[in-house]
Amino acid sequence: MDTRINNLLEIIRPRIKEIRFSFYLLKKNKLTLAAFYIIVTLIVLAVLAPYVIPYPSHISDEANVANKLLPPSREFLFGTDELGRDIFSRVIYGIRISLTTAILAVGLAIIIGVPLGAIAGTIGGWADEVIMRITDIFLSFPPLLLAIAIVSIVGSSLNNAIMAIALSWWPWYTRLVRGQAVSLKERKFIQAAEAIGTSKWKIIFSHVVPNTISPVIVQASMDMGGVILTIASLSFLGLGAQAPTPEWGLMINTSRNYFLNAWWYSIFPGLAIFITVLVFNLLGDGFREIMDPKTRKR
Amino acid sequence: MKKFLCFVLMKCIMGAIITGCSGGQQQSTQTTENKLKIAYYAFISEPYIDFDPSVEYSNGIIVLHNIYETLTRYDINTEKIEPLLAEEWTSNEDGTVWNFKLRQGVKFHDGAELNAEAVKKSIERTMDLQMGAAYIWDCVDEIKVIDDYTVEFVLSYPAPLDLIASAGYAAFIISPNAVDKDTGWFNEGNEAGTGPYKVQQVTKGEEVILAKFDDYWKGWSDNQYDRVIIKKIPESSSRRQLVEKGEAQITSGLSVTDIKALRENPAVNVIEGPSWTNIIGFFNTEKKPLDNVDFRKAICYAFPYEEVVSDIKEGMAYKSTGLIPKGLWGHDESLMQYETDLQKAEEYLIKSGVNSEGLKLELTFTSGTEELRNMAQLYQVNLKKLGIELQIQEMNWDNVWEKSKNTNPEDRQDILFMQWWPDYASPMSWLYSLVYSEEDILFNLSYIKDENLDVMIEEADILSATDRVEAEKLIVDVQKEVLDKAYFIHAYDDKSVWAVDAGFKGFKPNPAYEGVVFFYDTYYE
Amino acid sequence: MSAYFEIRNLKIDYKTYEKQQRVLDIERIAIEKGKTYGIVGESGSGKTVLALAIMGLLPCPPGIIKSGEIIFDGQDLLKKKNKEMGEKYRGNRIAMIFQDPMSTLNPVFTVGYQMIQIIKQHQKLNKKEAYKKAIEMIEVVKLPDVDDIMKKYPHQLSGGQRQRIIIAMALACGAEFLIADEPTRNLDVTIQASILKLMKELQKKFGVTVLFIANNLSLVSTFCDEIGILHNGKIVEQGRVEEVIKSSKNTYTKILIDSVTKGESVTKKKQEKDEVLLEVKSLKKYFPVKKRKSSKLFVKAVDDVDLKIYKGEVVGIVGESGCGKSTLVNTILNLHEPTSGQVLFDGKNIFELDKNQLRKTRKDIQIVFQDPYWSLNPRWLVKDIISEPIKVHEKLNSISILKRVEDLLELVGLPKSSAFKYPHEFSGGQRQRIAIARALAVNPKLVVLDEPTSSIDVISQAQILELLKELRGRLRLTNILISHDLSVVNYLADKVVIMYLGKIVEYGEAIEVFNNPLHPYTKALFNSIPSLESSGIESLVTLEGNVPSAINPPSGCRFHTRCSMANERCSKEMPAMKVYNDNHSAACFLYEQ
Repeated sequence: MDTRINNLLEIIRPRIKEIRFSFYLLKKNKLTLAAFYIIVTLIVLAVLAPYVIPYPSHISDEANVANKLLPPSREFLFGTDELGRDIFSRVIYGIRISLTTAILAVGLAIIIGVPLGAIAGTIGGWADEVIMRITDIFLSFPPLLLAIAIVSIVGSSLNNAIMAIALSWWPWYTRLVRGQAVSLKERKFIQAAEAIGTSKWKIIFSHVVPNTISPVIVQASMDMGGVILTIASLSFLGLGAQAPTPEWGLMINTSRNYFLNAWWYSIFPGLAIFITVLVFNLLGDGFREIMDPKTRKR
Repeated sequence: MKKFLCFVLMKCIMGAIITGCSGGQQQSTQTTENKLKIAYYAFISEPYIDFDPSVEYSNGIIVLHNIYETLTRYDINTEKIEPLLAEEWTSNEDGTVWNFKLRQGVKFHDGAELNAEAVKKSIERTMDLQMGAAYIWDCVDEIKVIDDYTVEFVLSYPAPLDLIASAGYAAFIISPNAVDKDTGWFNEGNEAGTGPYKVQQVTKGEEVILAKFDDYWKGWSDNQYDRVIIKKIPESSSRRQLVEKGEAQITSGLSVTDIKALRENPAVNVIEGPSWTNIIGFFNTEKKPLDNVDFRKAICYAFPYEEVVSDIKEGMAYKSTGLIPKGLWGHDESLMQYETDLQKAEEYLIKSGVNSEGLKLELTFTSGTEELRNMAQLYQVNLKKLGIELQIQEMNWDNVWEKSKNTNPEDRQDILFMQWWPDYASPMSWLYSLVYSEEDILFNLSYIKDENLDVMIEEADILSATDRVEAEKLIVDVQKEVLDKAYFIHAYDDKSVWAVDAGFKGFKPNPAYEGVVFFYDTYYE
Repeated sequence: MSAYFEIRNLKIDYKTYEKQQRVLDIERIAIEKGKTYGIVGESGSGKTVLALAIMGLLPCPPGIIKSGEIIFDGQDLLKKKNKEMGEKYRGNRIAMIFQDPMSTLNPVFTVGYQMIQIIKQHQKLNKKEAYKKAIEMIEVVKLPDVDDIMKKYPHQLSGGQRQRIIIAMALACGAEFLIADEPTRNLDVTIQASILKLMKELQKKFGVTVLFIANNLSLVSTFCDEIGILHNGKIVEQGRVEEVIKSSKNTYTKILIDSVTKGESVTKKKQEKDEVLLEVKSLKKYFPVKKRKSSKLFVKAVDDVDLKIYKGEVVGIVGESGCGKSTLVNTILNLHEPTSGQVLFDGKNIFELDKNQLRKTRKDIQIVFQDPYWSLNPRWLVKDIISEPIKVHEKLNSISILKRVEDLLELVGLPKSSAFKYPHEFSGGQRQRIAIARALAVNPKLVVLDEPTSSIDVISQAQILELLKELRGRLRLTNILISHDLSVVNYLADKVVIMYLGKIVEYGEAIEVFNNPLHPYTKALFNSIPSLESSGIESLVTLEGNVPSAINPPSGCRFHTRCSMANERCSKEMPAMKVYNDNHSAACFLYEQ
């Protein structure tokens, strides 16, 4: 038992070194560092949301129509919406929704796209042809339109929106990983594994995929921003989250009816989208910088 | 830095595009130079679906009632059926034979004369096509031309034909020259009416422009409008802006907040009037647990009636009393009402024996109306206190209706919100369409199959032709039964709320003709 | 008064995330005009840093030049601004030749175009004049068909030709000081010899001073007048070649010399039972040339090869690039499908086995690849790398696997703690040990070693060879050893096979073949390799011409186009392998009895 724990530590230790090194590089770029801190804040807020927001009941439990459409005040930092609910609480809670849906959508896209790309790149031949043609078909649709089409068929809900986005996003990962896999094929360790007798599947998933992680991480962090925007767009169009979910896009949609009277209703959710998408893009850029010299180093 | 600025720029552009899209097209055909008086009606949706007066069952009546006329018309001032193309009429004792005397000297836009033959042909055309609201003539067995200006209707059962002839739909009189034309001819933009305005230009789905018919039988005075434009402007805020600027003369369907703001504006008059539209919540009585009366009662007591009327509608509605709206005969103020009482709701919940733990109910309604969405959310809040989760699913009408028509009751929604208004000034519309049992699902979306109620409704219908008072008694009884069985949520009776330019005078909303502006009755000041 | 080229007190640091390290600390190097000075150092010793620093191309950061002077013809180069360096020195007076000519030449322009561009830039001649000069220089580097060459793209030339072009470029601009950083590293032995000879000739002809940097002591000492040994950034010994080699004073130098000469000691012969483990019969492997859809052209990589390997033997396969040794081995490993022929392992034809049997066979044949950097998955822990074959072929629980891994690490001379590290934490030599451990993990019958020492340092090479020798003795493995380095083959192999252009030209016991090479190619091969004993470049034998194309090999004896002893028969008939004596056979008409 003792040795098992020891072994575990041994596995983790070199990884920690990697992470420390990444932080060092991260610190070098001020903008990326700022983005990183903001994202950490967002994650903390998302996790603690129900406990930190001033009016947790305003998410879905309560409505006080008498207070409707009040401008920002000390009581209601971002004002209230058409049902008297505190917009500040709902915007903060919305972080939770945006982040979880984005992580799920991107995660799903990766789960679908990465193995397909690895298979296509490593096996080649007809598998490559078939997979890449399918990828091409999906890629020829603009992602938002494809997501809209899918949601229109299966119905509007946040879960369906996540699925639809994953289905329109996975091809990018397949392409990315396939390119990596093809160049990795030339590396001797793949040949070595073949010579050892390792099965093709094991080669793909144990050898190829771990070596394609770096660009996938970069892509994923940049995609977070894009996915959050897409979800907001879908909800804005009425195809994603449904009332009373405090999803930013849905809030902006609802605010359209009142924007002449209640400017705060559309500005704050809009600002939330803007900041979140921006910091993820910056982080993605930062990751790209970190990953590159590293691969060179290896 | 560069990236930052790029992003800000992008966001601004995006924002501009979004608001631009919702803004719709700018319109300013109001030119005082021409000295043409133009009345611009900014309408929430397409001006018409079908341009054929025998067929159109939708928004189109707002256009058609200015081009065509009916035999009789419901007058908002007298609250009675008044003569229009017919000068006077009589019926026999049991209401099965009706005799109309037509006005003389009335010309169609194409020059033809109004006579009995024209009337017979018009109505027979509608009956033959059997589209839209043609059912209102189902009672008619035969139409006889007695002489040039006398028409006789022989009915197979008693019916209030004077009321029927004043219907908002399917009762227009068409020129004999156009009676043989098919729907396609009308949909090209052609018309053949007797009304005060002719068609000048039609753009399907977008706008209709009407021009004054100089030979209109009622004659013209100086301050009336020469032109009428009816145009689709879907966004409430856009319609509001048009009226504020004076570019549009009249509009309706504004959001409560927009109305609130306009009341403050001296250049705009907010006109409220009775409307025969009410909002009803339908329970899927063929699906558990809504098949349980006590459960239905429980959630009826959970609905936030007061909040909806005072806060969401800001007083521009009445809490419903029974199924028939205020202002229409058959309405009874003394009927019981469900109040918002969460304790009573709990009691009935327990009584019903239904376990509300983790219970999910699905609510559907047509997207696009703020009030319905807000109402749904308030209801959601209340139901949560009972431990019930209300899932809101707003879709466009076609999808809502499709779902409600599912052959398997389990696949249908649990609760559905819908607006209802009558085809003609009669409460039978509610009873027949919403309560009377249906073979194929149409609008009876609580899926009521009660033989007793069916019989009562049929009797009331027959009585309505001859003995209004007796008929009303039966209608009230039907409403009592419906309330007792908690088949519906009687949410609220809408008020008709219009915003008009201060210089636009003479308009009074007429609940029998929802959304219709009789431009002939208006004038410019 | 300083020498023509002098480095004084040069201290250069490198700043990484973890620390700031001194990478170069040279007290003094002095080179007289017209002389050749060689710097010998292993990878990581700082030789490239030195070359870049001289050219003013050292990236700073992460490099930091702390102090020192680099005097060239009286001027301190370190004090020059970049602009001046670019205009007056770089390319003009000081030229650099890199290791890989493919990356030095721009692949999208013709060779002629690039030459003309450079000449125009540095010598301010017009197009016509530049063209003339370019032709002149290409002739100087002894490339035939000059006009043709000018129109070719770099990828259409052979490695040797490209390197000649680079030299031509350097000289075309009138360089008087040439820095050559491993110029022949990627070239075949015979080509290497001719390039070095050429460089020596040109040096004498143009009076060029050469700074020659390499990690091969034999090479440097053959080529240069003076050498300096670079170790960990310091010159630990320098002086005239004979002095340094014969009477070296520094410990490191001594180790270096030992490592090199060790390879030339006599190996023991093994007595073995005459059981055949692997037999290759009439093996052919042709690769279709994909130029057009219907191509009847094939690259005849392996053309009718017969081979017998007995249990417990070490067979060395020697040949230059393109001779087919890698293809032969890959086919044996069943990484390729043969075009025809058989490979019998333990009596069974491996190409007729079904999936399961094939898997079992894989267990018995393992391979150690040439490149220790990429033959190990950089994202796997060492223990996973080594245990991969165990997991594929045996069913052991994780504790047993770990034990086996630790045993293997011990066997190859690495500490047990290595198991939980990543490959990049080890040096090249250590990685090769890991690769060997992996190959031995499932107790294979046959271990193939594909150039096991070419990519690692001299000193590590020696250690690996020691290890292999020891393992061979202990485990009684059968080995196939591929190498172009004869000393390696000499050290380890019992039998040796010489291949040329897809065919075996000579075969026999290692000592026999090395002492008494029969085939003309073998002779040329052996004599073109520099060693510490060779007396200068001139003594190396060079082979004229290039290796012919494998798509369209010469008729008759493959080698006749370059053979100094060829006659008419050689171009018409293919000589068969004839036994000369005992186990020594050659395929040449000279030895027909």
